[in-house]
Amino acid sequence: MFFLNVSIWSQQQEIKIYTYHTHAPFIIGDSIGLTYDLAEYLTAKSDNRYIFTVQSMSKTRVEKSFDNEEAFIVPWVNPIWFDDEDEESYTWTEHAIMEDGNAVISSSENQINYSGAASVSGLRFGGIIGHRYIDIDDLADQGEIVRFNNENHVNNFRMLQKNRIDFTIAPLVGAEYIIQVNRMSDDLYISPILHSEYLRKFIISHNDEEIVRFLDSLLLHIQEDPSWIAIISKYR
Amino acid sequence: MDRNHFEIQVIYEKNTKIVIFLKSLPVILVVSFSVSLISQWGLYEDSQLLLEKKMDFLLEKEALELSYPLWIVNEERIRSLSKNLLKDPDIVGIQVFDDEFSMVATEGVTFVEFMEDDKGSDPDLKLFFHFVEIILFNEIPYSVITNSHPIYFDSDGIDVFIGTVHLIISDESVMETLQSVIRSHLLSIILTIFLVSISVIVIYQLEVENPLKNLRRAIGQWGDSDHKYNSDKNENEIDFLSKEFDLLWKEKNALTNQVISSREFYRSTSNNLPIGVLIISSNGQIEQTNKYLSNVFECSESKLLNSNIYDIFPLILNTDEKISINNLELNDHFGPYERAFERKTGEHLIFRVLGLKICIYNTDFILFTLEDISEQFQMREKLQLSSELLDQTSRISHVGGWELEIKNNTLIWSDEVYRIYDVPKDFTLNVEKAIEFYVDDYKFLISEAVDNAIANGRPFELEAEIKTAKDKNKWIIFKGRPYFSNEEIIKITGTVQDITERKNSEETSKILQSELNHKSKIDLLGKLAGGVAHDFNNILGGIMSSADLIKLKLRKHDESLMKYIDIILSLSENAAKLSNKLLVLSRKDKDDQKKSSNIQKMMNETVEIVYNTLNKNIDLKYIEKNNIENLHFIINDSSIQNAIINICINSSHSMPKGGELSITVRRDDLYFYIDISDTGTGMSRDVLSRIFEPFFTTKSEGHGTGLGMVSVKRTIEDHNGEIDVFSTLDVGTTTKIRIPIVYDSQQSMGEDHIVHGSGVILLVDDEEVNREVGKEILESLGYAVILASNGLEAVQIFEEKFREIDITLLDMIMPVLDGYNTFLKMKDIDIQCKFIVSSGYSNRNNIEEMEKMGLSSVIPKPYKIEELSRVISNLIKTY
Repeated sequence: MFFLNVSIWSQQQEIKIYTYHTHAPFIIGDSIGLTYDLAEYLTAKSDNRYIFTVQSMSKTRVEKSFDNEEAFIVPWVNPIWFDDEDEESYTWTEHAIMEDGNAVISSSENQINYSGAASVSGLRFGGIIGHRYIDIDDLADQGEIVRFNNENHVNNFRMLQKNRIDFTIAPLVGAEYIIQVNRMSDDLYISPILHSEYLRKFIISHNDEEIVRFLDSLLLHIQEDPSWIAIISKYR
Repeated sequence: MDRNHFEIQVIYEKNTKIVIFLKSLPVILVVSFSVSLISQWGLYEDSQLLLEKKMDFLLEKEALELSYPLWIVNEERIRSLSKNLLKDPDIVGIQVFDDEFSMVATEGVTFVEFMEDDKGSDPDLKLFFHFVEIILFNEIPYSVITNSHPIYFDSDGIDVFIGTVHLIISDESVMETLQSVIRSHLLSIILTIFLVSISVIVIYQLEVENPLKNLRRAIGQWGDSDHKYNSDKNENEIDFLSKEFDLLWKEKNALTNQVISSREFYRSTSNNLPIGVLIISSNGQIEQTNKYLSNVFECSESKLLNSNIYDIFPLILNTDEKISINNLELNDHFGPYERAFERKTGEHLIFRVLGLKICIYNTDFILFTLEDISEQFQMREKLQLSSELLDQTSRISHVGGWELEIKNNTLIWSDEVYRIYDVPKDFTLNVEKAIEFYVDDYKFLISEAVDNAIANGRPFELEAEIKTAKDKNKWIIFKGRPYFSNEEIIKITGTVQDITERKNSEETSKILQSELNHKSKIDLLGKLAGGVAHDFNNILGGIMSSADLIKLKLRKHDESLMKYIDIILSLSENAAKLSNKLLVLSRKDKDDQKKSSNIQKMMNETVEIVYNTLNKNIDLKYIEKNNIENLHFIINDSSIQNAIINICINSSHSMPKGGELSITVRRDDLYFYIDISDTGTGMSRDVLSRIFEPFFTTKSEGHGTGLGMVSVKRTIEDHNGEIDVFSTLDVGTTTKIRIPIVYDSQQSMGEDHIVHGSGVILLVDDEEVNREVGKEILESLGYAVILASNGLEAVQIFEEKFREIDITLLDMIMPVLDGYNTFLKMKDIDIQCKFIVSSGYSNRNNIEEMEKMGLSSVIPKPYKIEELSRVISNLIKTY
């Protein structure tokens, strides 16, 4: 038994989770957030064959890390964001961990049901500095929309509360979490039609097939996995 | 005392100034401090105003900066801006409120904390007390200013109120700076006053106290101790001086009286001085003078005192001295100078002028004394003239004077003695050195003579040889005579006379006498040779004329005898040539027996003679550079031959071991050139320059007369030619002769052609044979002949028949009246008459003179009939 334990320990492999999703709900405090929960979940699901640890960094740093030999995975990502729509430049999981999208959020008193760009033309929009928004930016460039830039979604939500903007766009998962935490659900309204939809997948460094297999097999049924559902529900 | 009085005055003035300064020091201090405080109060007020302005500015700025973050509800950015604002040291607090007056951000102290501090008192008074607190205390009780500003956001052109910003500004840093400035300002005032006070104390010590102490010491040493105030040692300097000056005042009055009497004494003394006394300022203004100068300058004393010395006595100083006098710092005396002054009467006075710088009441003056030295000057000039005359006399006569003072053994020389001995005037002279100049043979004689003169009073005169300082040997006559005083010899005086020239003249005279004797002998021999040659020529003349006559008469009858007559003629001709050579060698023959000669023939004969004469170890070369085969021109061939032979013999003597002798001849249209070169020893430049001097010879006595080259030169000059000699020692000598070619107009007729003519010829000859033969020849040529046996007879005949006589054939040496004087007398009778001189010997000088006076031709004796016929024929033709 003793020898067996040694053997097990010797087979453990640390896998880093490099993430640039440092906002809520993915990271909401020191070692707290959805990403940390994911790391624990994956470690547990691997029967401790892998030990997943979280390391947050900028997106640029994440991209540079692929030049190194180390083994890591990047969660919550979509091939479009890495200019790899054909999924040839990086090793992607076949299945997504989450279906997500950008929600159009407005004030409860002045609800906006998004149905394309024309539905928000002539309104005041609160965006995040440096982010580009399909169709919205074009309207802003044309002067059809007045855009205010903020540093985070919370401030945009506060502007909605003070009626200083008419709508904002935020990732659905994150928006739900912020509204919940800041108790803004009475003041804000989320349009049922999303501005855009996307899948959140993993990138695995250096085509580690074993990890890919491990993750894909896990992701295939993750939406039905009660333990994962329990985790997700904490942030909604 | 005057100086000390002046010093006291200065010290008093300084003391007064220092006391005034010290009294005003507190006032200066208070005023400075007040001015400083007022100026700082102004600064303080300004700083408060500045803070308020800063508050307004910051509020506006922050309201603008916070507008957008507050609009977008970016609390993080608002807090960040607020924190940054607190970095300004003047800002101690900031609060930002939103439109609902909810606090969005707060940093530093809050506005509320200060609300209770405002007591509502007078703000200016409060500010002043605050200012005083700042100056006095280290802990600065700073105050704050609070204010707020609404924040608006421009939303679609409408300013929407979105919140308020509150600022709290402290004056703590301003106060700190102000306190530092005020304190340093006050410190510098105190420091300045401190330094000024120290300086004043030091100045007081140096300029007042020390001089006062010195003055007290100086006063203690003044004058008679009886008059001094006996001071207490602890007594103040000023008190002491005050009392001392009381005493001094009394003394001063006494001294003033003394000065007045001294001045009178001075005036009286000055006016009675036999010299001029003059005090002038540096610009020449006369300050004081005396009666003597009034008399000299013929001007009243009062008028003199208003005058400038340079106007009255311009020559008293020259320009340089005037410049010098203006620079009194550097000069304290002038002269003595001697200056001429012309009085109004025209009288010239000479003054010895002496100047001295004097100082009266700190002003420099010049004191001049003028001493009349006119008489001394005249005497000195006379003495100078006398001395110069004596010196000139000494120079001319080469006589110098000397004096030996026996007591001190001191020797004195006059200038001429120095010149005789070739020593400079600064030569250190003593008896031993003087005797050293004499050559050894005379040293003892001179010493003995001088010793005798000293011991026995015996005068002496010696002729002695000296060697001068320039190593020249001279002869002198050394004379000495003792000089007595009280029957005791006190000195020897004498002369030294340079007699070197006389001595040398005597030697030269002896040599010249010897040479004269030698020349007399030579001359006598010459005369003898000349006489013999003349007689011999006359005899030969008779023989040759007779032979010619026989030949002429027998030519048509007996041809067989002709060859014997030719032998007689040839031998006679050779004998005549020999005679002529004898004449030349005796240096008496200066005849001009020139005739048209065959030059090539002459040169060949000459070269043959030279060849036979020279040693065989001499290689003789004869070169004719161009054709002279048919060259005939008038020349005295025998004298030219002799000249060439003479030169060649000289050359051979310069080549005792053999060598090369070349004779080169050439001609051009005008000249015939003869170059004679040897490879002998050559001559020095000195010898070369003297070779044509009579009696100069390099040969040993008896081997040369020194007349050879003289004779050569004379021969060439007789032909109007030139001779040049070039010589280099150990290389050789070249003699170049150039003779002008003078063609004979009759030459074309041929030498042997006899020309017949007609006319009357007066033949004058003292030899009967010559007369008879000559008559026969002339008559055979077709002429009528009148004979005269001497000059006097000829003159008499000519006087009678000068109109008939065409030509006179005249012998030169005749008894009763010689040819020259006969010529003169006959010329007196008929200036147009023509003469032919025919002589075996003649004085060349007379011939030349006769030629100038119209002598037509000269033919040598014995003459040939052909030559005579040609000359007479030519002369008749020109008649």
